[in-house]
Amino acid sequence: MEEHDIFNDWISNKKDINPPSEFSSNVMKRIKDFEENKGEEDLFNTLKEIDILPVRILRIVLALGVLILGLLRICYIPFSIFFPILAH
Amino acid sequence: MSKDFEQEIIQRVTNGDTDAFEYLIKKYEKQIFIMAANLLKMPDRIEDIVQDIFFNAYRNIKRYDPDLGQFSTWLFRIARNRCLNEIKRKKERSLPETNNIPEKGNPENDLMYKELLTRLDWSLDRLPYKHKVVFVLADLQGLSYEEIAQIEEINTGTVKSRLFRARQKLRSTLEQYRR
Repeated sequence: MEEHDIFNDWISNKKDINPPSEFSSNVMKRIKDFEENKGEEDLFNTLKEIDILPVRILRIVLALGVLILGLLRICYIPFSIFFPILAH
Repeated sequence: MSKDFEQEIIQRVTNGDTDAFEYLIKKYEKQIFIMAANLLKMPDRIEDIVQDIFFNAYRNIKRYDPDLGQFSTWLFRIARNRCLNEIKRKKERSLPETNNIPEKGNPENDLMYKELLTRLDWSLDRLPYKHKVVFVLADLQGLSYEEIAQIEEINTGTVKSRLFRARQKLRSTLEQYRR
């Protein structure tokens, strides 16, 4: 057998691949599942978007509160050491 | 079926007719299976990967622009990128071990023939990805140089040279083995 024929046979073998018979229905099932869940996903994303601004504001307020309390506490320690009478 | 009909199907899918997409799956599934199976040496994962390719095509079908090329070219590009990602992600070359390379000098013709085919498989697996893609698209899918150039986003001259090198490498492997 010539090299050329072997090469062509090999190429024919490489093309001899068939998808499973139920392949297209499996893909369609996945696509339909995706479409069904898309509504819920959209709703969830919308809720997340609505939620973002108040949550951010709340986080900033809390962070500022903790920072202010921390600063007051830090300031209070030296104040109470050097001016105990005033501190009480 | 004409290109116009295919375009009509794509339009229907874009407008929300999910079922119309099954026509496109049935039309291209064999080609995509051949492409993925020959680019990746992962027989147990091929079905999942090809399913991902079609699923991604469905999700992004609104981005397909018929003015920029045929639907098949666009789909092959998705397949090409998915296979490349799989290789990068898994670091999977999945090459046969060195001791699986057929030995030279077997006197039986049938056995020799099978060994040559195995040897060619082995050589294809070892081609650089860019050469392998061009070889698969040209010699297994029968695409034109222009179509491959569109998929790979290179010029036709580069397609020709990559294809020449891939074929040369495969044929030289065969010649070496037969000597």
